[in-house]
Amino acid sequence: MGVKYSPFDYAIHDDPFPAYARLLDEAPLYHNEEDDFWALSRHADVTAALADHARYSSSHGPLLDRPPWGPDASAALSFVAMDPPRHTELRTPVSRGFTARRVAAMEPRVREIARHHLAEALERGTFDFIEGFAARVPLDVVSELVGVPESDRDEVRRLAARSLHREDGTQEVTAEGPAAGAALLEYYSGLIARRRAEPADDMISVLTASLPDEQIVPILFVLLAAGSETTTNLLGHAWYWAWRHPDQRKIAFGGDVPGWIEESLRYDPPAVGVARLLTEDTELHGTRVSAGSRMWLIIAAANRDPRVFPDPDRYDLSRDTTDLVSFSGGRHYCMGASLGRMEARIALEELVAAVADYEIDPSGLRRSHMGNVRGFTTLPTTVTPR
Amino acid sequence: MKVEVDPMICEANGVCTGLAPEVFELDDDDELRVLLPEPPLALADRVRHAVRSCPKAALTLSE
Repeated sequence: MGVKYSPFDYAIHDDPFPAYARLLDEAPLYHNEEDDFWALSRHADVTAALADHARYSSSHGPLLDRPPWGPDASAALSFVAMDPPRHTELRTPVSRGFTARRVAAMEPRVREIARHHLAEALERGTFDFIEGFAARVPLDVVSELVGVPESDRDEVRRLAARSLHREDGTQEVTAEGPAAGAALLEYYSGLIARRRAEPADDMISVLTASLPDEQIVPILFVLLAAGSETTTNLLGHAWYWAWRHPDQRKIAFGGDVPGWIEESLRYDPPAVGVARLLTEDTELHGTRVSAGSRMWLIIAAANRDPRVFPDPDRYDLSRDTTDLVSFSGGRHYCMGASLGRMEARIALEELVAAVADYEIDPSGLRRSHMGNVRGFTTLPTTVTPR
Repeated sequence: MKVEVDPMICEANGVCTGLAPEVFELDDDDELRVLLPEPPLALADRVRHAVRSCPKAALTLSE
């Protein structure tokens, strides 16, 4: 019986890793007719495809769901669903907000944000790690970056959380999701208008200098979605896997927060994979795949390729993670990689400083069910303060 | 050995400046400067590592 794999399968969401091991071993090129994709899983194949933006086009976007997959994906996803040169033109001004220097300058503010939300959670002792902490910090950091005034952030966080939140066991945002999304759109449009009239030292002001409103709004939504849910899921995975591996948790709490972050990124990356459109007939592992095919590049499988990561299913904070693919690669390499890593480091440092140890209630764990993104929506935890 | 940066692709992630600070530097405007476009042999390994590690593949090396 050959391996069967669908990124929409709930059993796969529970534990995708045995399927990845079989794909890597038995089916390095895997065709799923029903979901209509060809999957690549090996590290060498995934990294080569990510680097080759001419053959593996982003014109239909990176997401498997339809919509947004399709020729109009860029209307919602801006440069994430474009190829060079248009991609470069739109991405460049945004990327100026994410340079190593800009990220370092944000660190003190990120620490204040993390401390604020952590203090609230610790007061309760038992809380949902996701809703109470891991979802809040990244949303506020995106607001800080974009230029949402502090007085508006609670409201923006509330609207964003509602528009992104998914019901347990579904791919759907909740019924109030679209209304919250519309309210957020209205808020952002108003903020753009205010910055056009009176620029400030923030990203919206940088964007208003060169782009029309209709191009700025999707960029803000991309920053919100790409900048919050991913970091939330990284924190959730770090918290969960360290709980599952007490020996590694000891190392993390002994001070190896960077190793904790990198290994969690490798072991269970928030972005499972990215889709691409094949632009020319291509021979892969002895099979000719035709132009126009949808390619699914499985980042989470590449991170478990034993050809690159020895004993890949072992969660080991001390391993060499240099070659992890968690932030994609090539022209679409995550521009928030440094920011996300810094946020995670600050958040986990603050946790380690305040918490002696913790438990997770496994009966309360819930996951989101999307093809591209993997993470917990509920992670009940009880902490023992230091 | 000659190393070049494509300024249209570079996004100042600062990976190369960390791996080979003698060769790469970010200026005050976050533009990457190649301080030693023809780095000496002693730095060759680290420069290759930096070029390979650039997340945007913005560096090219000719040997």
